[in-house]
Amino acid sequence: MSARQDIFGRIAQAIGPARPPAEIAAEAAALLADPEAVRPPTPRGDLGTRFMDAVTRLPPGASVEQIDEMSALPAAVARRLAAMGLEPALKIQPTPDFQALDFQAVGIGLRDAVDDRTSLSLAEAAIAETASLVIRSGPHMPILDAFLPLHHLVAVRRRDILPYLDDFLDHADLARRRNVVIVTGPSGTTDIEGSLVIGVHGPATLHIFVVDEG
Amino acid sequence: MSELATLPPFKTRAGEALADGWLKTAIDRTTGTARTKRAAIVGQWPDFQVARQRGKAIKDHVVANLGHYLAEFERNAIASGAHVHYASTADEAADLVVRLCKEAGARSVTRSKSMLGEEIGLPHALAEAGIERVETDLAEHIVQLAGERPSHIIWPALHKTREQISELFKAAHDDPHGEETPEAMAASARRFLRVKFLEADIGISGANFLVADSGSVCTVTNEGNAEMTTTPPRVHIVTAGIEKLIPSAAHAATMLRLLVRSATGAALTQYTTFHTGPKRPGDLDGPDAFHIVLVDNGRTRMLADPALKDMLRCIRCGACMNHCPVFNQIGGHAYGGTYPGPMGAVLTPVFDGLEKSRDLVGACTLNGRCREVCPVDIPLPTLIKGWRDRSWREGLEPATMRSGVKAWVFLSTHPRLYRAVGRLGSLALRILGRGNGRIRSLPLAGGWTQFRDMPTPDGPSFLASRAARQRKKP
Repeated sequence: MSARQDIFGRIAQAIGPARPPAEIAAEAAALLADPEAVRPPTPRGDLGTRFMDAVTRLPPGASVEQIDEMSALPAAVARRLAAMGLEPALKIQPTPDFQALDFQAVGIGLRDAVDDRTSLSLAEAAIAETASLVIRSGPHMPILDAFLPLHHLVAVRRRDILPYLDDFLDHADLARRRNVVIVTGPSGTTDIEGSLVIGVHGPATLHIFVVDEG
Repeated sequence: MSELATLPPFKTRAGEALADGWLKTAIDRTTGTARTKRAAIVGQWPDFQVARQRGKAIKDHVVANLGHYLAEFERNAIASGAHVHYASTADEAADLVVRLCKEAGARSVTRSKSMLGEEIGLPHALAEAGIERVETDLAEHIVQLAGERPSHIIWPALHKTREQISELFKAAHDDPHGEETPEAMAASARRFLRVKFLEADIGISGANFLVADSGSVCTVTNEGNAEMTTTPPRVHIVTAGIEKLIPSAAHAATMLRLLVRSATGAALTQYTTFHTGPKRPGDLDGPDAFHIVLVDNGRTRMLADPALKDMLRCIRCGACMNHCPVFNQIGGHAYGGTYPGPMGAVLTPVFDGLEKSRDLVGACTLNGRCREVCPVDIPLPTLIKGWRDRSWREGLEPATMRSGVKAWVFLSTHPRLYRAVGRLGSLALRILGRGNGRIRSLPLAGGWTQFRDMPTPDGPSFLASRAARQRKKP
């Protein structure tokens, strides 16, 4: 007998044969009932404000600003790089959303290398509860662009901000892509005598642009 | 099976830990912060208990329908392009992973921290097979350089001082830190491990959750080392216990909120990632092959055992050890098994046998803090007592303990004799402590009086004073 058969055999022996799938599904659905009862309390206010407030509660290295429209992104990125004392160059996510933007016009050089440098990504959603950004792998998003750089810049549209973690996970459609990454602040560790160090493997800074267009 | 069998006895291990002055400071520092941060974030959520009961119900539902969810997960994982394997025992699991590594022609393997990997002895198995293993979690990297075992499931290197870590890094890293700060040391590890991440043939991760309705594997890290372990190599191998299942991503929300708050006191880890199959057509990165090794190793035995079934809810947050007075005195290594603290006292007898681990079951004060903070309400003290019962019934307790308890039973079922012996004992203690009111050594209790004096009994016994009070009542 294979290990697979053995394991399923021992499970059936321990708890009996599986119940009808519909019964199990109904019970599983009931465990999602009344989501308000099992959510942590969050401050009132509009989603954009709630999200930006939540970013201030993240570990150091996380920051957020608001811009009026996507076309204002290159200039905002240029200002940000200058404010951080970084060279005006970065890798831009190959997403159609960024294709119309002219970064060179604001003096930003486009790079392919990300290792310990800077990258710019677009999050498909953000979560106000936890100040999280959702990044999904695919033909327009190499996952390593969120991990290899030392500085990660992420834009997210205000209309893509969701109130709670479950608002995203309920419709996450995980099977569609290889990776869904929920990013909540820059890379950090407390493994050396418990002191918090930011930027251990991944980015040391995470700067978020909330894009206020419709 | 862990290294438990090859270690000195528990009392020796505990004694060594107690004599280590730094260890106590290190444990206090890390678990103290963990307790404070957990209490703060749980305190901000008045209905935390409601969520906790929901989390418990979700895991109970999965455990009650384990066969169904395992089959569903397998089906969806295969549909996503994953290869699904099964292993009944730790050895089978480790052999399987080594075989997959060899088939892929791997020379170098990166690993992101997985307690199950430790449980199945994967570090040892890879070393025996001559495959370079690079631990990428910073603490696991420290522990690997030191040639040690993890001493906590969340902070595996909490027993190391920064001076010790500095020495390890300077000996191992090509371009080590200059400044003696945690920041500079972490940067040194970043430089060293960055190359390893990008050069590895295979990345091995664990799983915090297995999502049945999509076949996804969920990992949580604060460092980002899981994604950097699983994305660049050609092959990603997951090792996971079959109890890690949850019905759907929607159910993950409650479980993640409970897990992260209980583990580190944050609302969410920096990186919460769902891995579903290998690289897809058109993807810009990711592994060509994705293997999932599902491990039983005693879990179906726990499922069949009413005294242990509750433990299958465990989501490995470490809150029980952070709040355990015994763990906080002796630390993780003294436990000897893969999992320390209260959850380890329950699990180690499953993996290593009760005979070798009955001391762990005894090293518990039954104060109940572990259950209070457990995010899925596992009655850990009850499970520990269950093992004590079993140890007694199976005749594993040593002769002194057996005859002692038998004498106690005889005495306590003969009240007159009990009172007489009590009076005699009290008199003896008073004579022993004559002078300064302290007893420096006691026959049969040398272990206890070695580190402290016993005060002499003060006044009449409880039974005598109770009897006197009752006589006074009208």
